[in-house]
Amino acid sequence: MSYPLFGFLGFEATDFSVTTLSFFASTRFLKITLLLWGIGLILALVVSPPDSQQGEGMRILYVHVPASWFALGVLTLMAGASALFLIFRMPRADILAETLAPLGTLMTCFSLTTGALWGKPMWGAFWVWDARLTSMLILLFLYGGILSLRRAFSTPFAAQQPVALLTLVAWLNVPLIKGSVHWFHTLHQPPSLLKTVGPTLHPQMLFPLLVMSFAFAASLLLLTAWRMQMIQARYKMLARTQRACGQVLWERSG
Amino acid sequence: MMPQAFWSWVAMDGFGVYVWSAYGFVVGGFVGFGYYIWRALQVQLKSDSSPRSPDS
Repeated sequence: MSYPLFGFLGFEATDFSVTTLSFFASTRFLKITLLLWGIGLILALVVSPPDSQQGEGMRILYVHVPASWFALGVLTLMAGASALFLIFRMPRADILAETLAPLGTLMTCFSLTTGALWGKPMWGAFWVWDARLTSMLILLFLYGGILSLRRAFSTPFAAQQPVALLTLVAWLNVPLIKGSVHWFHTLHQPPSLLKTVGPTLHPQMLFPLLVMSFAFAASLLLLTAWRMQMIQARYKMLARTQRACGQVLWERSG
Repeated sequence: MMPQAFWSWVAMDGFGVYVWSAYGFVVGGFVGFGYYIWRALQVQLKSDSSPRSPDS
């Protein structure tokens, strides 16, 4: 019995995993992504009604919420990949974590910036030091730390284990961010969607938010596939250079 | 859409500067970062497929 995902994260890529990566990196998937963005932007900026209290300013929700979800989601995926690398020594799990790190940083930048642009008209300030905003800022610093540590070593393979450990430690911030609006008195509102009693957002606003979330997800899949192909090609080139030199320049820790 | 209705939609009851800044930052960020990654991939694939001398 074969395990496509297991093979994908390990040494041997199966036909299924190679085809999947090629599909997400393809022009066809780029067109699907652009279509999702087109529909999502029309729904968010034109079709969706303004909020009864926040008025037209509420439209920032359609980019702020998906960015925040994926800022946390990407780090969770990275932590899972790092755990797989540390336990099973799967090289592609480390490549996946390396691929996702700048994308998670980008999502956190989006979340903080759109949050500030939403906060100014609603709260009267771009920034307040409340628990949710501060923990998101710490998340940005943690992403920065992961990116910096990856480049701090003279050989790429030497960075794998320390970065995986730092990613697992950094993930501890995710439950803190999720719980911050419940455990502390914050200016930031509690969640409207991910609640045990179901979402409290009106369907006319919920649907555009879901479409925009799919557009974000498709963009991240596309960028992940492109970046993963690039990193894999770079590692292959390093291995070829090593063979050509006839000496061990880099050692794989896995 | 009539010009007046269009500019009214752009202004978004005074929230336009914040809404358009947020959307501009996100869409611009995706496009800019996407182009950066795509260019890096093309450069990597090009150097990967370029012919090498037997001595290399």
